[in-house]
Amino acid sequence: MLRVEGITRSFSGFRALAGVGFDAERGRVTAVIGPNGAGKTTLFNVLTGHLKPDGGRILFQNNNIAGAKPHQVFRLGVARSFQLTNVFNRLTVLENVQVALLSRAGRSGSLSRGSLSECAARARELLDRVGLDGWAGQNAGRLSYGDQKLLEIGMALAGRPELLLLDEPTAGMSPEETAATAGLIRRLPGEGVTVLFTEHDMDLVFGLADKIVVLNQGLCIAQGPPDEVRAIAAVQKAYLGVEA
Amino acid sequence: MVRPAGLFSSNAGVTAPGPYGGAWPSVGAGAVLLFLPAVLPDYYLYLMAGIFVAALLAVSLNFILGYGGLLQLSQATFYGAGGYAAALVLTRTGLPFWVVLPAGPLTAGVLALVTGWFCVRLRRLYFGMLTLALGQLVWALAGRWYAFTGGDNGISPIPLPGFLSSPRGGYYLALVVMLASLAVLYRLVRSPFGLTLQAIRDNPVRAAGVGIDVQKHQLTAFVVSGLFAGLAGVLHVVVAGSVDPSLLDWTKSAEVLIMLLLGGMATFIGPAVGAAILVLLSMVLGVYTGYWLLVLGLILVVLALFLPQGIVGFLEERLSEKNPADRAVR
Ligand SMILES: Nc1ncnc2c1ncn2[C@@H]1O[C@H](COP(=O)(O)OP(=O)(O)O)[C@@H](O)[C@H]1O
Ligand SMILES: [Mg+2]
Repeated sequence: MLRVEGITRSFSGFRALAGVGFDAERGRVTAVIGPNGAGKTTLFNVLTGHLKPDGGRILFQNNNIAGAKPHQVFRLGVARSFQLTNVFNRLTVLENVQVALLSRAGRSGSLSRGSLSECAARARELLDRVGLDGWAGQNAGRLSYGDQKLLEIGMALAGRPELLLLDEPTAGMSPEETAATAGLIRRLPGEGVTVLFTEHDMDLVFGLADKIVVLNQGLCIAQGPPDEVRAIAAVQKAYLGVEA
Repeated sequence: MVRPAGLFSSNAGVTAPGPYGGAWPSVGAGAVLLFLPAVLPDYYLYLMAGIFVAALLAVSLNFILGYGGLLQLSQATFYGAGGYAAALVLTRTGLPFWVVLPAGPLTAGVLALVTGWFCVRLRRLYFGMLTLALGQLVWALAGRWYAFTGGDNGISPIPLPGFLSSPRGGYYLALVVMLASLAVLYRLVRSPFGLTLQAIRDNPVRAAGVGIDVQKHQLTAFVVSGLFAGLAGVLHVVVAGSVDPSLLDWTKSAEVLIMLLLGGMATFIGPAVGAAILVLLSMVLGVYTGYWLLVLGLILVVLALFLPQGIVGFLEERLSEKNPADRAVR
């Protein structure tokens, strides 16, 4: 599904990604872990077109998408949520999802109110799925931090993605919200969504992931099934121990 | 998510029916405006027509600034472009008026397309600075190119067709074009296009992240805004009968910005109300004396200190405080 080969990216001389390579298999949940500053968010930004890589290839379903623009990547079926919440503050929760649905349907430029009501039902379904159905009419900026993260996942799912990237989906969430989000992530592969996520909560990582990729200082230093990585992890406590 | 249907509703996500309740107040106001010429003397008709022109100009700016979040600092450029285009067609060709009417917005739209293409590549203040710079360029051109634009003197008098040469004719044309334009802009704001535009305003990175071609969308909105500013420019020609470079001066752009701040940018109709107040004020204070800029500056200070959301925004806030459903926060 996704094959990343030798991705490099520097910020004014500092190599945030120094040749990252790994695979994510279709229908699986893959976790990317590593200490703060390892390059996880930068990697996600490169994968979704928000940053251009200096070098390397990103093969999504055998097409190289390295250097494509964010909106193009989304239309190819790769959606994401952001580490720092990113919603449309002054629109309602429902409208946030509607905007994403319209975009996916190629109707962002439509002038007919009809297209809005047409996607309202589907938007409510998505809100129901992320547990925000009771907040449809609320301004998104007024949601709690955890709910904004859930809304982000809802917006990402509106793109009917084949690959969903979640950057620290549960950071800042209450234990209940975290459990609900974990449940949501666990169900996604059954619905045809391949998941790639970063997370500092190791219980969550080992409980959810079929595969773990360990990033450190812009390099992938290990990848494999959780048990294998855990064995390495025991040795490399330094990396896994850092939980911020 | 019930939305009020009238022009008097907020774009800031007021989810309960607005305090002005539907379209009927607008219809009532429209009827009054239609019959005013029967009772008002010419001078006041002229004044009202000026308000209509300013209202359209202000709402066109709010479309790109309030709803699009783009710091357009030079809206008068497109207003002037529309006005000059109409003036030139009227003075230099024998074309009928129904050709002149679209010529203004078309010229402004093309100018918006060309300048906007560069501007949407920049963010925030840089966007604003480029609009200002390009606007000054157009202003300099209009003020220096004596052979074509009449330079500093502008173009005057401009021959108008018979039915528009009376204050009453100008009044009706300005009224009808303004109302029709506001209706179109209102529909645009409420359409998927408008919703997407507001999403981009709130968060362009996230908008791109859900598949929206941000720059293309912004450019389209920029052109639409320029088109309607150009249309307001044509109306100015009809009402005032002349054009000169002050039409696209940066102080004119600043004046429109103050109309927005005065009325409030979070409501659709707020800028039109701000326009009305400012036009009336300029008349009362003896029309563009040397003190006008000083007055504008004072208004700006007062707004910044006491009414940051504008008059209409302030009223709406007051009225929605009585509506607890809108204030529930988790
Ligand atoms: N836009 C940027 N400009 C400069 N440095 C950056 C930028 N984005 C990230 N970095 C640097 O790249 C490194 C990796 O950051 P990041 O990808 O956010 O790490 P992680 O998500 O794994 O915590 C950090 O040292 C960070 O300071
Ligand atoms: Mg990060």
